[in-house]
Amino acid sequence: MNSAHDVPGRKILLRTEVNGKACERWILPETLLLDFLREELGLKGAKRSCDMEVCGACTVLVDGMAVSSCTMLAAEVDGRSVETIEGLSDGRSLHPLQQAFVEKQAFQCGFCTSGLIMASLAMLRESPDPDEAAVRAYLKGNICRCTGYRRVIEAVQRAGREMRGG
Amino acid sequence: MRPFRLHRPESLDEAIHILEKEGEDARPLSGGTELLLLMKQGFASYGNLVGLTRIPGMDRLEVRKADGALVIGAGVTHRQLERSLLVRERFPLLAEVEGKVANVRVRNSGTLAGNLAFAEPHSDPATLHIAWGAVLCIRGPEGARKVPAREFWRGAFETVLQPAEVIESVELPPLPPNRLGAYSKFGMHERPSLGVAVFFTCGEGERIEDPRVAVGCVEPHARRLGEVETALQGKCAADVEASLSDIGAIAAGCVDPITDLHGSREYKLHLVAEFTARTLKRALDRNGEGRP
Repeated sequence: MNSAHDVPGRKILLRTEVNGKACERWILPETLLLDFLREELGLKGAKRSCDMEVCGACTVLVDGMAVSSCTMLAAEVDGRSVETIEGLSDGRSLHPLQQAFVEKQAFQCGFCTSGLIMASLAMLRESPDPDEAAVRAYLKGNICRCTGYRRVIEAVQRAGREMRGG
Repeated sequence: MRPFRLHRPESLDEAIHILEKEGEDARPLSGGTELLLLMKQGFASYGNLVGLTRIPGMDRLEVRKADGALVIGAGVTHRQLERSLLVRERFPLLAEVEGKVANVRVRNSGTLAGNLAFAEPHSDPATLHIAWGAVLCIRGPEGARKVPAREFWRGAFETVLQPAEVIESVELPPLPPNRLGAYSKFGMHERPSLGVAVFFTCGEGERIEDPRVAVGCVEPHARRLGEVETALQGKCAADVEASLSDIGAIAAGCVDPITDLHGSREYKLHLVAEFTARTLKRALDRNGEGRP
């Protein structure tokens, strides 16, 4: 049981790691991961858009796996690690994926971009040299309504080459 | 979302105990990819959620020595089934179907057992499991029982699960080399508008034995089409291949779809006929693939 984690008022203790830093907070059980990141931690890179796991704008990585933070309880990341777009760059140089998205002009409004980059990061770790069909299949659930996908696919493949050291 | 208490039991018995105690105000929570959606929209509301996925043993994924069946614990996600080497080598059709469920994020969170228990009419795994002959291992206050997948669903979002009962694992029998299977889906939305699963044994003289054909998404729950199976039983593979459109027509005659977001009734009848024929063809084309 979660009695050890309980306080009056139903709050539970969440112990997680966000972008490499340990994080401990008392949260209400119904807190969604997206709200926890945006409201509690001030990490606004993940976006709420469709709110039904279809569009991918809220994509973050949990233990390295892409998930929809809009439809996952924050409590699910207890004892696990979370990565968001904010953790990618050290503030001075861009991550190869970010750099490739800039160079290929793979976004216009940018609303979907953090999700696309996080999903692409998970994919490139699993499969460092994906062909176009593999990129398309993996990013099928990340929707962009202004740029289209050609430049995104090129950016991901370029970042893959960069990350492989080629 | 309405406030709720989140329980994180350490054993399945404890989970069942909580579900029993809280009654209709409690629901088991697996990946949450479907339940949380409904709760966010206000279509479902529970005062207690009981987390199942972190219970020790729920991540079980193994081939049982005695009969070669794949045993899939209730905590196993779609994506684990898609990527597992064991599944890809020994149950490749399952890996193929699981790899095309929704999108990668849903597959990373959502579990197979959760998908089956939720009983959403538009489920790829449900249709596949009915035709494959899967067995669902259920645990509840009265103990354990096994239910064949084909008897599990009662309607849209309705199953034979009794209060405080949960799926503990899913068992898939191994397919002998001459047992052929294929699954097709079609749709323009995130969820499939149609799923068709076909299995049969290619026996003596290339005759079709023990055919099972299931159609999902066009009715409240997936089910086998007995008339199609009767039409296939004992036929020569070559004869079936020559009469695919006739068999598709029989399939369309068996189902009773409604007009909705996924298309008109007529459109769905057309899809059922077309995809039953195509899926049969795909299974026939696999003849010989698994043989030395």
